[in-house]
Amino acid sequence: MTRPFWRRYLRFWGSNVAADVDDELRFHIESRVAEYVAAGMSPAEARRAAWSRFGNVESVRERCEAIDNKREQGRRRIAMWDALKQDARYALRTLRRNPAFTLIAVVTLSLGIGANSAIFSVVNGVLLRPLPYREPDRLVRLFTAFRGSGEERYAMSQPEFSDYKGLTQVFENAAAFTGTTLTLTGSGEPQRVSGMAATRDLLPVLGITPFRGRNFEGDEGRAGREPVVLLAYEFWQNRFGGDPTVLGRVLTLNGINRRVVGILPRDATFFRAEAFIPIYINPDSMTGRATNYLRGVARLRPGVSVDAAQRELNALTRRIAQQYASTYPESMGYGATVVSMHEVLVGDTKPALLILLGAVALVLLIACANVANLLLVRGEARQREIAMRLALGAGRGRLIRQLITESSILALLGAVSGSVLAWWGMKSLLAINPNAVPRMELIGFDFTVAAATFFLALVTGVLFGLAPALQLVRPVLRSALQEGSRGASVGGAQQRLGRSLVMGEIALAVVVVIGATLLVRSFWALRSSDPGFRADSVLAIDLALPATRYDPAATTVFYRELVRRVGALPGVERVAMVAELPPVAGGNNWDIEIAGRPLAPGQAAPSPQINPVGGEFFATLSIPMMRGRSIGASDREGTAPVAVINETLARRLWPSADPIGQQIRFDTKLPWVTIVGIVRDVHSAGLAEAPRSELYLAHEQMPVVGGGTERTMWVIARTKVDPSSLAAASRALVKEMDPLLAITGIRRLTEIVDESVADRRLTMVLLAVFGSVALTLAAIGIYGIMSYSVRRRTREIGIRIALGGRPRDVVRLVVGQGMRLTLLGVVAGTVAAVLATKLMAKLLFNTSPTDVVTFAAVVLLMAAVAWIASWLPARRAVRTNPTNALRTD
Amino acid sequence: MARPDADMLHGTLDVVLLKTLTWGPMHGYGIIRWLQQLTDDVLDIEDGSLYPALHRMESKGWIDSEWGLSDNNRRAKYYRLTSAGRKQLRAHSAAWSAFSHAVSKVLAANAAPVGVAR
Repeated sequence: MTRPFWRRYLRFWGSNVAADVDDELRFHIESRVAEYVAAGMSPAEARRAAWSRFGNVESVRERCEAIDNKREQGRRRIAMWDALKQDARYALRTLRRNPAFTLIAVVTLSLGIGANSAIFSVVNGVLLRPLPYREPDRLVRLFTAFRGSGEERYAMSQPEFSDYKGLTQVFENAAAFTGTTLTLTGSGEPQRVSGMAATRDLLPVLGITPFRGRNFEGDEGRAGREPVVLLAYEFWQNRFGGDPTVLGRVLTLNGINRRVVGILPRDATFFRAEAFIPIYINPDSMTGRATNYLRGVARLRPGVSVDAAQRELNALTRRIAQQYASTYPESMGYGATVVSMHEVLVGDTKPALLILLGAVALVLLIACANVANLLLVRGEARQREIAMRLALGAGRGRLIRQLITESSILALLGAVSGSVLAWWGMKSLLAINPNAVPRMELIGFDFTVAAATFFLALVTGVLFGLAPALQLVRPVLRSALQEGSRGASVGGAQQRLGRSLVMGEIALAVVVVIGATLLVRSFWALRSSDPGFRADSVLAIDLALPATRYDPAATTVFYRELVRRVGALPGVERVAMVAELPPVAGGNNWDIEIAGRPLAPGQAAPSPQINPVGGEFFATLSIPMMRGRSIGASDREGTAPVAVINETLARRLWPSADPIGQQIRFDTKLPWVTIVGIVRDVHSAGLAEAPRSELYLAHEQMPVVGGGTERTMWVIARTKVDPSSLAAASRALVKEMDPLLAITGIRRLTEIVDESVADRRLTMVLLAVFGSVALTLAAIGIYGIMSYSVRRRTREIGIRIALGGRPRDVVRLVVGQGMRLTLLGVVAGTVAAVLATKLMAKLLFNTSPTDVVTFAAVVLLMAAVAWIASWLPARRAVRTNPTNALRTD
Repeated sequence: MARPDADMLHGTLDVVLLKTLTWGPMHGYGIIRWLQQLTDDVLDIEDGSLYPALHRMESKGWIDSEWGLSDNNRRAKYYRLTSAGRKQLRAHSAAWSAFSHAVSKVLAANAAPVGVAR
């Protein structure tokens, strides 16, 4: 027995298994020794005999300890569960006895937790969940950059892509792709299919293996090879009911018969493409360096960072720019950009989501402050109960645990109802705003969200429960037991804590409400900003003619005839067509040469956006002509090519000269185009985007000036009646002219405009909702603390009034107290808001993050709300009959 | 009635210890001494197997322990029978009697079993 003597003292801190076993065995052996000594042995002999009789003490001790330790563990676990169960049962009983308190607390918490749960489900789906590809961290997007004109992420040309792909020391593999619209004909109604033309490396780069069939092979996609197509799983399910015999069948897409060689797996979505067709890029071909139409995706080699890849690309593009100096003049700022794929996908959404996440965190803090305050107020009533239990020997720690259990149960109840609220709220909001968020299909209430909500509820429970609990068990029991329910010192400390909580929540609410108001103002500014055109009463028809059946001449005839027929519909005032419809115009810029102004070496050619139009385009969208004439019906093949430019391009190219009559062309072999008019700027690429340099050309003259006849056009009509009432008639017209043509959309232009700002609207609506919740909670907080304070002073107020004090003075006293509290909170909140709203500058349109009007309005609003919230209890107090007041305990 | 089984012999120690404790709380050493005296040293339980058996029965809830003072005023761990232990003892001793009765029958037999070749 060689255990250190102090082991036994461990027992003072609870049972100690090892020391107990030691002692027990020691007692046995010593008793045996005593027995032998009594029988006449010498102590040494007796000791030896006793040990040898016992046998292997060490092993016995170990066996006993093992048995006891196991038992001890089981006992502790049971004791813990018992205590927890007891606490929970007690808490539930207490909560049931106070239904009003419980209801208010749970509703408050469910607002706070629900908001967090909702926004976290979006953040989880959009930002946190990895892309559905193999090792998505290594996937990057490739772009050509023209930094001279501020284009960081521009399309690539075929030779550029081959050059980038050749950087095999950083890229394991790379693929090029470009979106394309396909029309499926042959069986039933013609159908528009969202297509993706891609090189055969796309699937390997993403790490996708076809679910059925195979990927593109060899030089498929090259002219002369059998045309093939891969189908996305969902499209295969929806269009063909998952029929396995589709594999190998021939589908007619854009008039080309393509054999289905593969079907992609279910999770393998790529830009929501429904069908994939091959592009073949000959790595040795160096022609077409200036034709930029490809987008790129690449897989980094393991261990290579995006930055390292960017450095390699920089070096490469410097060499390319030197080698092809005529294609890439110095001022063009040619380069390449590599960005992580995830970043490209969610980059635009990230700031808005982080702002929302911040806002809901603040809302939750406000909710916590409110519930903490409720607990404090209720704690006053429980003071005697707690003091009694302390006096009867309940441990302080045990009591705190009991109180925290109570608040955790409240938080869990709040989390459950909040999750329901969040789920329902997000579903309906996203249903109203489809496409406002990327990867929306991934947003849902999954295990991660549930776990995060549960965790949040526990943290919340401790957060709002701890301060009141500590406050309650402070060692002031004697006074609480002796006095009535109003132990002066106790109440005072609680009031101080309560006031700080309310002040804090006012400050937080000011921050959230200012943020929300800024967004509302910004959205309002955006919607009331002049986009340069009038969207009301315009019907827009989205058309794409298949190349196989429409050569340029047929295309011209079709559109000319369709415009004529739509124009003849009753109720149609003007009709036009346009390739890039504002405010959803894409980028399509061409380099131009200006007559009499040769480029200096190294100087980049001006490169305005090209937009083919027909009919009465400017009149239909009410875009004012500033100078000269519009493009008209006489501007067709055979007449002199003309163009209309916008003010921005006019300012840029001819700051001092008259643009009208000037000539430009797109290539030295092509004819000159004469500028005949100037129109006002239009926010064509989005309401929040600055106007670009635009060059409008006559659709029918496109083949002459070198553009080729555009087959994908919008036909737009300004109507005297509700535009949607003409949708059916327009559809019938198109059907009549070409029954095989698929029509994706006939919509009002206002809908298209609305949709173009849907993401901003969603952010604004959400933040406005959270702002209102914050404001309401803060108002409840002020109301609560003021009614509590008034209730405590009912007797004092009664005396004042009985002694002839005027009710007005009493009201002023109480309201003044509330307003002082508010003032402090508002000042703190305003300071915090100045710092916080800087973070949302990116989200604001024509609105300063420290917009004085907004700040002033919110401060006034907060003051008004606080005034009402403190006036209501004050009024109630002075209406109390003084006799009753004096009787209150 | 419980049937005797393979645990019978292992259970023998248990039943002896449980029975011993029906006389009142005792510490381990006391149990051994009492058994020695009672059976004239025939039942001389090994010190080393006593304690694991006691601890095992304690964790099964058949016996309870408490620290107390021994006759010579030393701290000793006293074991006491619980009601679960009493129940266990009843079951065990019934099984034990049945078993020992069966063994005695075999030992006292004076006729050969049917079918045994002579």
